[in-house]
Amino acid sequence: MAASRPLQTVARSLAALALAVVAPVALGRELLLTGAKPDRLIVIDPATRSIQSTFHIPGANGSLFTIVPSPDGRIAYVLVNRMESIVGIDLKSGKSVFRADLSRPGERVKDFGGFAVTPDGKELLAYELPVLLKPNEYQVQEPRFSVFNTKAGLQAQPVRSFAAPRRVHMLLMRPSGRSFYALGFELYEYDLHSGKLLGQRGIQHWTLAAHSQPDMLAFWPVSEPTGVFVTPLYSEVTTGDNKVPRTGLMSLDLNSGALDFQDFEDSAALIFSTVLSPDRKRAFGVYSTLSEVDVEHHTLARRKPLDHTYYSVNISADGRELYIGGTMCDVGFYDTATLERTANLKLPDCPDQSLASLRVIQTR
Amino acid sequence: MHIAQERLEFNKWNGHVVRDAAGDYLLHVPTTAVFGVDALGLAVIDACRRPGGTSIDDIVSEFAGQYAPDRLRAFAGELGRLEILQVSGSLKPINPVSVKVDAYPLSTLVLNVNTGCNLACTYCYKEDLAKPVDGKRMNFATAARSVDLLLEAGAERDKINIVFFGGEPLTNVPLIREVVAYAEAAVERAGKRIDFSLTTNATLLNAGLIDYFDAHRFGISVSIDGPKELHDRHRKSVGGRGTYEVVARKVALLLERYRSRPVGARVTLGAGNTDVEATHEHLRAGLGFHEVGYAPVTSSATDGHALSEAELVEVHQAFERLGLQYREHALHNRNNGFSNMHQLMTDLHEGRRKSLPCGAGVGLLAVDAGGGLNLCHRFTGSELPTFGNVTDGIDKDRLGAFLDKAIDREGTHCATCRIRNLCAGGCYHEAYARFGDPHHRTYHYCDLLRSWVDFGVRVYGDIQRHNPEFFTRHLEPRSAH
Amino acid sequence: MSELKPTNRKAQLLLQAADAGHLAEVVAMDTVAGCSTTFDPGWEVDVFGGVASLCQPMEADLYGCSDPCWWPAQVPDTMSTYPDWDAGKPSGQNDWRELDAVFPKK
Repeated sequence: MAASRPLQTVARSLAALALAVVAPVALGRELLLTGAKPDRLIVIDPATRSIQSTFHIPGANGSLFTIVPSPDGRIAYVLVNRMESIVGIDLKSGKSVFRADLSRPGERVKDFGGFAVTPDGKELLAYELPVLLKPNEYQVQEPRFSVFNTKAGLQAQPVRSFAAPRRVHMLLMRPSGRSFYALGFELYEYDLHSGKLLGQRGIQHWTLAAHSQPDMLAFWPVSEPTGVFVTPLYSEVTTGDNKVPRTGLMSLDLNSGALDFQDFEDSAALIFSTVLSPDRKRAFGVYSTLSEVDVEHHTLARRKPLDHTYYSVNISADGRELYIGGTMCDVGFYDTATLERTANLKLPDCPDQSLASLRVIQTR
Repeated sequence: MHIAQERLEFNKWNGHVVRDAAGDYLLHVPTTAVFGVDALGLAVIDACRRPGGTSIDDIVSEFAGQYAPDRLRAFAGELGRLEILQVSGSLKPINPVSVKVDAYPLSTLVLNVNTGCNLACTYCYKEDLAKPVDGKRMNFATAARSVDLLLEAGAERDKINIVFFGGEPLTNVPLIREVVAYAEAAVERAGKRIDFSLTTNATLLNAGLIDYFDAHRFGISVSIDGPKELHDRHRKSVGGRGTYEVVARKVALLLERYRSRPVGARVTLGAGNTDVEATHEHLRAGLGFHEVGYAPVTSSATDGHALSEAELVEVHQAFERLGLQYREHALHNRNNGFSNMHQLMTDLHEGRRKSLPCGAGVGLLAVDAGGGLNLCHRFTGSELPTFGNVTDGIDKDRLGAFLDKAIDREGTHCATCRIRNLCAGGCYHEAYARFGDPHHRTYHYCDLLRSWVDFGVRVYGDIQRHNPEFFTRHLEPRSAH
Repeated sequence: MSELKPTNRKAQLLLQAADAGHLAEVVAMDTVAGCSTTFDPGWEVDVFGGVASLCQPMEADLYGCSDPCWWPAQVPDTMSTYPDWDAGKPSGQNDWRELDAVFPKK
């Protein structure tokens, strides 16, 4: 592969990122964020393949899930406490600067669908699944979106809430900050201020000819560095008498709103999450193999086995290096040109990352 | 692996073949792993059973044309790794000592609330049995200290268990009520849960007591020996009369009202009482017990109520017939309530490998009226010294020494026995009653138990073959966790 | 491919451990106060002492079952009922032996 000059790639990325959700690459330092049991938020310096900071999140209660960085890369918001609390950690001091405990006495609320932060960093949106705990029964309540002010401190309460559909598993903020996507059985778009449903596009009810309903599992809201969210999905395609399972890639451009589904192989390996390269030509996916998808030609380009499952994958802003994490206790560094592993960072004491997201942030 | 020319012998201390018409089994003794083995496997094993054994090369040439050489080599290699085949002349049983008992995370205390009993069953093993009025009653202070000890020693446990025993525990109901109230409050403060059990002769039950036990979710075991003729043979009142009429009436009342947990029956098989099938039929279908467990009476060889050699064999044969009935039921996803068989199936299914025969001393201790800590409920009031008391605590050194001795199989027949990891030397009290020494292995049961385990392997394999779902549905773990 | 057909779970465990050179560990497994641990189908020791690359990859995944509990029948429900199942055992790779069965509360 021709040597891609870093500056050129970065410049292209800059252009692509101009309207993206993640803050513009200011040619600052790139850092990785991951989480590990029981309460650790870990900041990794990929340049030196080492841990820069380990912060302990109070009241994490043994579990960490989705991580969403603030757009300026100064705060990491983490879903903890059995999906019942969201905590914002200042990445310099490690202190909690925000906390929303969604449950309250008699009402247990879980945020099973992740959360999102507005592009100006001022508001945080959560997806709530509440149930009332009565003396001898549970009363399931209607799901809701709740909006919090990120400056509300450690006992944040929602400033507004509105009705949400069921079976949502991810929230993705649009760069305008006016609306967001709720990804679930269908792809919904809601107005962030009024809660009004702006549009709905089919996923379970997609209309791809000859395709069965798709199977999608998406819990890693990685849209950096391109502002395009990509995730694998699986369906059965009927040709004549044959039904063939096919793996496809769903891509959602958060900026333009373009939604696309493209199959790229007869299903061969399970892929949990994917990330789009900055040049938008390739997508990389992980689970028990590392897969490279040629997004222009809709084919599998390369696949290599991994030595254990990884759930989360991300990519450097210049597209040269892949980061893989989640599940167990190591973060792998791979060269995107060769797909060879160049380094592996094992977390001290080997704590599980489990479902914690692996995020890339840019700092000054 | 073994060099192909070395002579290998089948080590029956580490491997045991159980033949069955439907398919043969190989038991890996060190781990209680059960394998199916085919004709090729048996051929290799039989060849290695010959005096002096044989080499892999010889096996390959002997069976050339019959079995593929690489399969023969592979099989021999596997058995070698499992130490079922070992180099001739260097046979060794595998007995890893992986457990050193130095912690006593008690989960259960048995409280002997009264050594007195209103019955005088011929075979009762209690050395300190007395009439109810003459019995030694535990006082509340001792009982409360016992609960405190249990909570302290069982600090790591989420759930603790208290068993009320005697004599006949229902001759001291006031203490039971006090203990329940005290323990429930203490457990709530400690953020744990508690389970109560009771073994009773049932004669003193009434509706009020039954409802009380039900409200506190007691696990109840009734001691009953079968239909009238069998029950009255040994379970007599102090006046010498049979107690079946009363017991049957009380059991009917109990089973009609009791909702919180299934009720079990415990049968002692004494002289003359070998008709296990009739007993099972009567207690299950007739009276309605959920499950029934049987134990040959514990005795010295010369006691009048002891089972004779011939009767012991009869009992064993009856167990096998009842076990086949268990199998029939299991193939139809039902449990016939034959507790002994169910326990054996569980042990095989879990692949249990036991260093100690039971939890006595490790998870369980029994408290006598004076507050002394005994190995188990059978030993309270016996001559076996105690291991501390509820005021001063567990005498860890002595108890540790006792258990270390129990684990150590060196120099005993148990070191090489093929069921050593399921039997683990047998009940301490059985040994004490028979031989005067709790560490004496229960050799009087060895042959029967080995035969019982063979039977169990066949039935287990059969159920696995035809209805493996039975195990996932019906095996309720019995270990107090 | 073994010439021995495992009939109980222990046998299966033993064969896998024998392949991987972990035989001594299985032989040493003792039952004092209850024995087995919860099994993710195929969740056993693998060559690396970890919990991946076994049976079907889907089912080899401890995290596929635990935490948000996709297949609640396989592991205790850590989201609501048994939140402390892995307390003090944050490393599945190292602490798997201590991830134990739970018994239903009455």
